Amino acid sequence: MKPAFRPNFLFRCKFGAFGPLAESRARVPGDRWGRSQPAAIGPLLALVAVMASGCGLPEPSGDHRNRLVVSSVTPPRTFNPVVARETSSTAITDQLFIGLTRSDGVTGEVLPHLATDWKSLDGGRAWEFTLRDNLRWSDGEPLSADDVKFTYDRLYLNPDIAASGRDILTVEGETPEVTVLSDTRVRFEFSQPYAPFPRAAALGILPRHVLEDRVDAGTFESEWGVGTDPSSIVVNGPFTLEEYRPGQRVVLQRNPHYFERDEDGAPLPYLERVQFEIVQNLDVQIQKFRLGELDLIAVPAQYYPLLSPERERFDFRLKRVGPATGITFLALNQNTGVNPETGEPFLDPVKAAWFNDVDFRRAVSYAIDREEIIRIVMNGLGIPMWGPLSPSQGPFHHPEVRRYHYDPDRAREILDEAGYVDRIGDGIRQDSDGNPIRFIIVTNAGSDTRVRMAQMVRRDLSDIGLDVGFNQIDFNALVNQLSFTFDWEVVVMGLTGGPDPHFGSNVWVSSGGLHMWHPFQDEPERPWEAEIDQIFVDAVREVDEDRRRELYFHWQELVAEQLPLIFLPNEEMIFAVRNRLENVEPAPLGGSLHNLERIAVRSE
Amino acid sequence: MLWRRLRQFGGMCRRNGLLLAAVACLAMLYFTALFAGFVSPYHYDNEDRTRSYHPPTRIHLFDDGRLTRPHVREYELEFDEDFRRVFTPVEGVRHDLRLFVRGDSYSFLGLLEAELHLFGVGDEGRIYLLGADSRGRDLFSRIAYGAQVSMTIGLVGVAIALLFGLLIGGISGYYGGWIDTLIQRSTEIVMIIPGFFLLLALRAAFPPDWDSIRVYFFIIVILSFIGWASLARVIRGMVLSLREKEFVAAAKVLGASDRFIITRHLIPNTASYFVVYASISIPGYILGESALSLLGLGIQDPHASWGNLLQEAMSITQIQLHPWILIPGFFIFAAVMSYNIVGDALRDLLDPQQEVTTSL
Repeated sequence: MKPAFRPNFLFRCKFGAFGPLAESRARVPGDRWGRSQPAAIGPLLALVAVMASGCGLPEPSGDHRNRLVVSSVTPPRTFNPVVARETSSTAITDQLFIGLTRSDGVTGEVLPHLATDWKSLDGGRAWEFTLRDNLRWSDGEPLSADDVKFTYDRLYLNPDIAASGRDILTVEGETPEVTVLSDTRVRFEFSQPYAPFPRAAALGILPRHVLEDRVDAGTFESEWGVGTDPSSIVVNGPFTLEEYRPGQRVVLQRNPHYFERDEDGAPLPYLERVQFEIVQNLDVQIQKFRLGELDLIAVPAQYYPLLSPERERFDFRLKRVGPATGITFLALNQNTGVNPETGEPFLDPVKAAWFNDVDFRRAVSYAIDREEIIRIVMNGLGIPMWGPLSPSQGPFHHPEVRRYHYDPDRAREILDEAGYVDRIGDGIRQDSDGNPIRFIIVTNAGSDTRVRMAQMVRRDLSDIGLDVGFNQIDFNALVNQLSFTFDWEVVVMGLTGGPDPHFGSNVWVSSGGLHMWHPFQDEPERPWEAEIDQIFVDAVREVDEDRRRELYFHWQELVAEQLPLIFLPNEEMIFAVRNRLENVEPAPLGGSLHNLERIAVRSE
Repeated sequence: MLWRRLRQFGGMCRRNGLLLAAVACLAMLYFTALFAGFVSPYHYDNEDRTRSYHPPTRIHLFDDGRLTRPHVREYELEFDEDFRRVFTPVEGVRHDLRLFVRGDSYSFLGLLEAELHLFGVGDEGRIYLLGADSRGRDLFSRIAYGAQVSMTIGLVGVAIALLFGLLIGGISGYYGGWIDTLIQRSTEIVMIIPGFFLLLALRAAFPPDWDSIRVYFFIIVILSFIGWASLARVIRGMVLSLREKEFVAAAKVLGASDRFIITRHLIPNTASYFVVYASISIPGYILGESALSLLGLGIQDPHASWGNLLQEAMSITQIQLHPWILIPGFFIFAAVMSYNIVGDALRDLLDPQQEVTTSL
């Protein structure tokens, strides 16, 4: 899971099948939500895989000392960064193709990359970037502003290409106009201010001299798929593609034309090769790490006590880098809409009325014992979450929003006052019309963490007199309910997240498709939703970082007050790193490979 | 006839120790299932989150070197520097183990509310004969309640499969002709589909907001839907040969109705086969339910079945640090083995020539 983190905070929020920590494990070809791996058949797969590795598959020849071996849960689907969507592919294309800017993997700050600097003109309506001198592609050809214009105009913004980055380049339906000012200067003009654009400009740049005729021929989308001859892929990142063995491994080799140098003037990257082993099962991944076949893995909290005592024996260190990004939450369906085909409401109006009552949601939030969830599900390695941004998500995180510490008595009081009282003495509360409060919490089978959290929440809610059931269904079936049929009641789900809240607007703006408690609203139905909508419109136009932060702080306060989602704890992110590796600085935002070009292997 | 068979079976048990053990094991498991509320010290959803993954409790007979009443010690949960759970004994606190104590209320045989439990240590302490799960629920109690699901699902499922298999196979074999062709092709369609995938597909078809009781019955129906086809084919073959026998011809000549002949003459003559079939296919139902629950698609928490208890044991951390959560697997093993042994014995007794296979 180690690779993979960079694209997550660039692109819009997605459901994760496993939760933020395990996000990269969740991506499977053909599904933009990230389909769940049936973890349940894990033991079988594990057995097969252990047997296979025991038989000794042939290792690729070459220098092992200057090689880093990491793992990927699913095989890449393409090496074309424009059409790559799932993290198993983007983890690799991120090393091959770099953009004008990059996000710092630790702080989330936007840093120069191909561009040395940039400035906003006209109050954020236009952005001008200056490229480094003497940039070269891996085939030795020069890289210029023409490549940048080609990449944006003909690839990301080309309506004929299913480019995964187009939506982050679009503001209120408008796309930028790209002008080449000189060989090293390029300007992007929008019809209205787009403050977070430098972050979006991290999209990888592609070579015009190789790809232009393929775009003309209309074959671009199928170019550089997994069947391509690796040497024909011309890149600008720290590594080039050396080898892909389908279903087994991807090997990257250092790019001699890469521009970056370290403080002493030595060329980067330090590593000669990086190998992504495809290991589908988490248990097998852990075992392979113990056997020394992998150098660097992410460790889910529940595996920490397993690996921790072995640090000396197997010569590695465990790095706890802070709470994961993204959110896991309990969502109560507040959809008051009516199915246009049948004329029936999506959700029983009786239930929709409870879930639309903010007192009801607050009582639910007070009833959840987050400390015990952390101790039991996360083995003590987690933090409670109170707002939509994790503390790891950089400067926009609001540390002081309203909190709902476990207080079942308070929860009962709120329910009593709001008229949810057990009138007939059967132990279950009824609403003022006498309907018993009965609903079911659903989550996707295969995500152990979410399943166990949902089971504990179910129990907590029964303790305050609600009749709550629990069920697990297939991940795709659940996403289908959330996105199309809207007939769910309460779910436990997760979303990925990055440092800039703007890229999560499809969740928070009331017209958004991932605004799951009541998606696709023409007009916001609740006053606080209207307020949040306005914040997102204002913030994208606000170039002043402090004022943007204030706006987003207000958004987080509103969310914590109104609780459209009831946040559940986030796991700590933990990485196991072999001791002979140097400069490994894993972080929740960037994962473990955000500074791959600086990672080195100490010679023994 | 039945009495004679039973005595023969008793004789086999005396000669075959393994068979005796299997019968005893099944008897014990069904006893536990029937009296789950009484046998188990706690309700299946009685949790104590401060005792997450409490190891099996040792029962002490000596205190300070002197023989005393059997008792358990109190332990406190802490995380060590590796975030492992460590239970350290609390000095001087002991809870006496007592028989026939009052505790969580349960419904006895579905008839009356009861609070009496076979054993317990009172409200202060906790006894975990087989350890605790992640939320500090007693694994022994949950296995006992889980037996209600796992041990009955086979019986009910086989009963339903038998009903359909006998009826459809009987009709098919007796009438022959186009009815036979139609029925046989239909059974083949059912048999073509790999059982487990059919199970998953059927499971996906029912709404998520069903309660556990309905899910339980639906799982039985799904399992027997997969199970009846192979039985129907064999019954059809047997009926096909039986209907040519003289006693059937005699019944026909005497003017007996088809229904009478099928139900009174043909099906009873296949009894030796289907009794064996039943006992040998029950393990398939037990395993089918366990697999479904293991995948999270069967019986749902807080209700227990042996399959969903094993859901917690699916990662190496749990197996290495808290090995007792694998215990439900041994119960599945014991039940399946016992049924197979009993089924083999029944076949030797009733129908030594028949080869019995099941589709699950």
